[in-house]
Amino acid sequence: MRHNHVRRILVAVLILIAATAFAQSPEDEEIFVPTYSLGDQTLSINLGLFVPLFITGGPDGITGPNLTVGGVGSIAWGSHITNEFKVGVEVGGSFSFTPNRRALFLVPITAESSYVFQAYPFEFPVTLGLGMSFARLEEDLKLDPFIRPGGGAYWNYSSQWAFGANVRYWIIPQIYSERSVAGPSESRIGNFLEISLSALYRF
Amino acid sequence: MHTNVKPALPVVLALFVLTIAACTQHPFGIFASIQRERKIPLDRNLGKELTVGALAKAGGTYFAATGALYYREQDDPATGTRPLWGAAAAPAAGDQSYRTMSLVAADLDAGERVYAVFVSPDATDSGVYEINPASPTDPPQSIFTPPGGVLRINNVFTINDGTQWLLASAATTDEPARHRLYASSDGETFGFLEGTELANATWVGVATNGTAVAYLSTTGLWRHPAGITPGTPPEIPLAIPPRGSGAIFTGIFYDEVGDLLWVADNRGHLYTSDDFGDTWVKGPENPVSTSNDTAIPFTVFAGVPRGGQTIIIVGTGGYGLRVVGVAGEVDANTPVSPPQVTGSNYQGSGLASSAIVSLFVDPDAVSGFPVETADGPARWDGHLLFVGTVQKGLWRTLSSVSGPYQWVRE
Repeated sequence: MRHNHVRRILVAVLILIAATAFAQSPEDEEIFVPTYSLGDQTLSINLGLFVPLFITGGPDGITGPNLTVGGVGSIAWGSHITNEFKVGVEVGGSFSFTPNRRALFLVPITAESSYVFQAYPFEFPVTLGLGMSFARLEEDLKLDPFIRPGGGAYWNYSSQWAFGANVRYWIIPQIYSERSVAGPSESRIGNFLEISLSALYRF
Repeated sequence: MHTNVKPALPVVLALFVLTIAACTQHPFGIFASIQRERKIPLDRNLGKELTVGALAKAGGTYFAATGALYYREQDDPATGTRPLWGAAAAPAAGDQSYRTMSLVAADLDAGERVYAVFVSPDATDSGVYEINPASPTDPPQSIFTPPGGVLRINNVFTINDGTQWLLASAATTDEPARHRLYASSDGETFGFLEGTELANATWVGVATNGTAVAYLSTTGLWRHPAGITPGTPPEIPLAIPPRGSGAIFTGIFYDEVGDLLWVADNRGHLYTSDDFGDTWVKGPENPVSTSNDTAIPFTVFAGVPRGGQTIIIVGTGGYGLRVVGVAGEVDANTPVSPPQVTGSNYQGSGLASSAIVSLFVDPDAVSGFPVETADGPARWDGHLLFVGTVQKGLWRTLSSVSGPYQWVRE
């Protein structure tokens, strides 16, 4: 009996939480035209496809990436400076495979700045991420500069949640210096495309 | 909408530092290596993560010492069949726990046979065993067990100085252990090569110019000038290879075209002698690459017949293969170079960053065998070079005579 009682309470609490977060009926929906001010924060989770485009910078010029389409994921935190302008930090990762099934992992850590065009109920952020990216192939690991311009389209589901998609272009100049093991002739620039779905939470 | 969130900065920083600390670098770029990569055909079933200590061929059958002993028949160009690897029997019937990392093929009194050193899991039992290539799943026959004063048999070598010899290196029960050589010309009885017990370092190889025989330990070179004579202690040439501080010798090879005896060490040096051991040329230290001055830890040599020439190659401890050059045209002063990578799948193969512990050139591989390459169907037209690695399996060339090597993993 005691177990049943506890279970009923737990179920009720879970339903209440779910209802609060997501289960607003159309009649209850607030008319929300978001306006942001300094310090308003966002947290977003992105998951999607990682599309290698090409590799350049070597003696063969532009060549195919020699990589499969893979997966990408990231988590980003942002804070508004103004209604339209936002800065933040993003940590992500991607994987794809070479013809011999060697896995290439890229883990970028970036500082992000976004300008958000607003057309309620939609928002269109244009972003630029700058940072560093770890590249790992088997036992080889390298830290490279990382540039990621991109854009997105979000639909405001509620005052807290928005859902959307991003298309972002990854540019990774992989530079080997004279002092490196590989030498400068091994320098290349990797070009990749991220196509991801995103869930954004405001707080 | 304001919430005070503190990012887990210390955790992120710690992960960052740990990751940086784990960085490793190889003599090729990550993206450049991917750009060059070509698909490696996997046409056999030997484990990709095996260490292959030795490879030999007898009676048309290859044997690989990988801990366990594996065998497969050579390809049949008439039928186009590609025999797969199977497990050969271990010494104790039904007990596959005996391990082998050293074997050779030799044609002695019993005919063409494979001779392998098997060691029990606790290393208390060891010996040289004979395997009939016609029946590799029959338990091998013991032909040599440790005699008195010997703790363990370590390796086998074979050499032909006019007589085909089977040599076994053994560690004594002394503290510290001494290392002896035993020799057999019939595959049944082994004679102690007196004097070799003075070596306090393990034997790593043997070479002959057809008359004299040189034995290389990790610390020096010994020699029988008139061929293996069990009753006569081998001499120690006064000008042994001038090994540097901390270096150990790792490989020996006789270049019959240039009449040069080659020795390699683990500190980037090659040594040559044009009088089979009396005088030596010590080459300059070979760095990993032009931008990395780490000395290459050389391992074992091989001479690969190609296009009417013999190409001398040497393995490394973690940097793949290096080409020494054309036999007869190079000596220890010639800098080694990486294998040709343009048009080859070498760099993307994983072989470029492998530690290589065994090289085997199939002397009588058949040509014309239909093969599947990264560029489509082709016919193999050259000698087979096998490369045994540490935990990256067994590799084999697949190439035309004129083109760069293509590699497949067995």
